[in-house]
Amino acid sequence: MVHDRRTIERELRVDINRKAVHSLLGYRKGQTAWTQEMATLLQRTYSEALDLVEPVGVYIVRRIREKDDEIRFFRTKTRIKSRSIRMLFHKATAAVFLAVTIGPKLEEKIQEETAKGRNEKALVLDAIGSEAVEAAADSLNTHLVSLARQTRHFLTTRFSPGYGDLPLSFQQDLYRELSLRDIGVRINEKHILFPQKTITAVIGVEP
Amino acid sequence: MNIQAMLKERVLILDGAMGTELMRRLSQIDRVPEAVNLENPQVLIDVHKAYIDAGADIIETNTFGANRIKLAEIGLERKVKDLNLAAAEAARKARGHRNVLIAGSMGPVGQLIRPLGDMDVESVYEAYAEQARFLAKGGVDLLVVETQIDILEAKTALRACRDVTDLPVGVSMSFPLEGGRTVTGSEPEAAAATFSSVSPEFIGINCGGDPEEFEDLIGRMRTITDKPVFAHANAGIPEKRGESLVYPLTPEAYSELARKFYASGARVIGGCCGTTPDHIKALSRALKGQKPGAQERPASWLLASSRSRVLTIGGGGRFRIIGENINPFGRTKLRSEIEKKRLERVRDYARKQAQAGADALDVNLGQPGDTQPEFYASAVSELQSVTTLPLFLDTTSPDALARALPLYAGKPVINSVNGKRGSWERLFPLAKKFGASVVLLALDEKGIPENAEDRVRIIESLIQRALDAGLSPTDLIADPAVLSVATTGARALETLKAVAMIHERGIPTTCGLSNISYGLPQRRLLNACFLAMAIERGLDSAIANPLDRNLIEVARACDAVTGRDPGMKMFLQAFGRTFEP
Repeated sequence: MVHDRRTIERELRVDINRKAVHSLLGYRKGQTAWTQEMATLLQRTYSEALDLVEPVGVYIVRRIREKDDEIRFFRTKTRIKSRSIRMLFHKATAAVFLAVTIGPKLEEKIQEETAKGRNEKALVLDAIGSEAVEAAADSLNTHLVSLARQTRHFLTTRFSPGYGDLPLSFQQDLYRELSLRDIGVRINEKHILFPQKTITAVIGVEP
Repeated sequence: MNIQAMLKERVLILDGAMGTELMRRLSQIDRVPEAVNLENPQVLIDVHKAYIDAGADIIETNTFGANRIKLAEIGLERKVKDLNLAAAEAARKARGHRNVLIAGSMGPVGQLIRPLGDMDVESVYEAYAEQARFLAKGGVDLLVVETQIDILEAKTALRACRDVTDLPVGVSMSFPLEGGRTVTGSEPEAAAATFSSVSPEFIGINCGGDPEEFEDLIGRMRTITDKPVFAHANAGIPEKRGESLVYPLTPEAYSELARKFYASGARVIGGCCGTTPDHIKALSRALKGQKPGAQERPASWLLASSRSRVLTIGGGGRFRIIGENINPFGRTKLRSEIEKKRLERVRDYARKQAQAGADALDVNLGQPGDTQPEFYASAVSELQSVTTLPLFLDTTSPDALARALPLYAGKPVINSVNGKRGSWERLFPLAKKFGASVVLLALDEKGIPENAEDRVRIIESLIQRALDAGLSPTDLIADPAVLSVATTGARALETLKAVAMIHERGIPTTCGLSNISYGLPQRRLLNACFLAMAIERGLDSAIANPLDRNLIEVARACDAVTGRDPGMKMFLQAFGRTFEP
C-alpha cells in the first residue's frame, strides 16, 4: 500500500443491510408485527433515501514509527494513546486512517420531514442513513483489503473513535489528518462530525 | 575455439564410451574405472587418442564417478583432487595440439536427495562444486553433468558448476522408462524446462533405454528449449552372452541411428555405453562437418515445471487455472494450522485442487513475518511429494524463497515481483540463480496505477529489468492487478484493458481472479463473469479456485469459443456425448 498519500474514493458501493435497518427501527423477530402501512413506508423510503446518499471516502496510510506508551507515525503529528489500539496493532507496521460520509442531502431531508411533522418517515430515513454510511465504509474497507492482498499484507478490523478506550476526541486528529473539510465534513468542539452520518476509523496494516 | 562458436558452425562429435572401453582393454579393473587415472594413465591416453583419431571434437575425462560421495563408497573420498587432476592431464596429453575440446565428465553421486532418498541438497552441491573446481583446475574446456536420473540433483549440479567455474556446462539425463521418463518420473520436457533456465550451453539425453527412442526424446526437448540438444546413446540394450554383456549395435547401425538424431535436431552427437572408437568413426563419417539445423524459437509462453511435468501458459494454449486455496487469507482453520506449523490441511488442499483439475498450485502461507522461512521451505519440499503439479511460490520474502528454491525439483514460479526497487532488485537475481519463472505485478512505489497504460508501463519496465538480470522471455508472466469491484467497476475495466494491451505484446498473463469479488455477494457469479471477459481480452491463466466447478466449466467453454481448444476436443471430452467404439 502506498504511504502518505491521501486518496479520495467517490464511488463506494452502498449495499444496505436491511435487517440492520429494521433492527434499528425496533423490529424484533417473532415479537414485532409489521403493519401494511409500515411496510409500504419502508419500501418507498429505501429508494428515496438511496437517491440522497452521496458516499465519499478518504484514507491515508502512515507507517508506524514507535509503539510505546503512544503509537507514533512517520510524517504526521497524529498519535494514538489507547490500550485497545495497541492490542489491535500488535503486529501492525502501518495504519490506515479513514473516513466515510454519505453527504448532507439525506440529513437535510430528515430535517425537512421532521419540520413537516412526519416523524415516522424521518426515523426511517435516519436508520437507513446509519446503515448506508456503514455500508459505504465496508465498501472502502473491502477495497483496502483487496489492495493490501496484492502485496500480501493483512488488515486488522476497523476501529472507530468511541470504541474501547479510543476517545471520541481522536476524531479531531482524524479530521486534521484527512482534511475532512475537503469532502464537506465539519466538526464541533464536542468532537461531533457533520453530516452525522460520517464514520472515521483506523485499521492496522500487518506485513 | 570455444564450444559456443563451434556449435553455431557445425554438428559436434562427442567421443564414445570410456568405462566399457577400459574393460575391453584391461583384463580387470580395480574397484572403479577412475582408479586407472592414477594407476595406468597411459591406457586412458590411448583410449582418448583412439577417439580423437576416430573424429571426436569433444572427449570426456574419465571422471564420471570422481565425486566425493560416490568415491566414499569405496573409501577413496580423499582422492577427489588427484583422480580429477590426473584424468584431465591424461586428456590434455592425448589431445596434444589438435583442435579438440576436453569435457569434464560428472556423473550422479549415487544417492538420492530427500524426499526420494536421504541426501541433503547442500552435500550434493558441495560434491559437485568440489569436482568442478578440480576439473577446471585440471584444464578442461567444459563440464558435462551426465546420465542424471534426478532432476533436482542435475539442477543442483548445474548450479554448482555455474557458481564455482566460468566454464560452459552441458547437462543430460537418462530416460529409460516407457514413454520416455527418468527412473524418478521426469519427462524430457520437464528436464528441458528446468535446465534451460539455469543457462547450460547445451542439454541432452544419454544412455539408458532403447536408443531407437532418442529421436522422439530429442524432438520433445526441442519443443521446449532453444538450447542446443546433445545425444549420446548406448549401443543398444546389452544382451548377456556367456559371462559378458554384449551391446548389439554395430558401428554402421549406430551411425544410422545418429543420422536420425541429427535429423530431429541434435547438435552434439556421440556414444555412450558399449560404443567404441569404430562407432565414433562411423558416426563421424556420417555427420562430421554437417551444418546444425535451424534452431526454432520456442513459443512465447511461460514455462514452469514440476519434477515430472511441464506447464506452459500462453502461446495460444488452453486457459490454465492455478489453484489458490493454499492461502490462509479468509481460511481460519488453515491459518491456525499454519501458525502451529502443521501441514495437514495444506496437503489436503493440494490433493483436492489437483483432483479438481488445477494446472498448478499457488503456495501462500501468510505473511513472511508469521512464517519462518524454514517452514515455508519445508512446506514446498513436502508438497512436491503430494502433487505432481508445478508450484507458484507465493511469498514476497526473499529469505523464504532463498531457502525454498534450492529444494524445488523443477522450475517453479515466484509470485510475485513488483516495480518497487526493493522487490525486483532482490528477487530477479534469485530467480536467475535457481532457474525460476516470475509473475510480474503491475504495482510500484506509487501503488497500483488507476489506468491501464501506466500498469503496462510498469510491466514493460519490469520485463526489461528481468532480461537485464539474465532471465529469458519464457520465464515471465504479467499480472495487471485485479482489485475488488466493491468500490468502482472502472478499475476492473482498466484491468481488462491492461490484459488486452499486454496480450498484444505477446506476453502471457495471469491474475488473482477472486479478488474481483472480494467483499461482495454472489462471488462465484462475479468471478465467472470477469473470467469470461478477461479470457476474451487474452488472459492466459488465473490464480483461482479450481474447486468451483462453475469456474472450470466457464474456462473450458471460453477455450472452446476463443479457439484455444482445437476441434473443441477438451470441451467435447468434458461435456459431449460419450460412445464406445
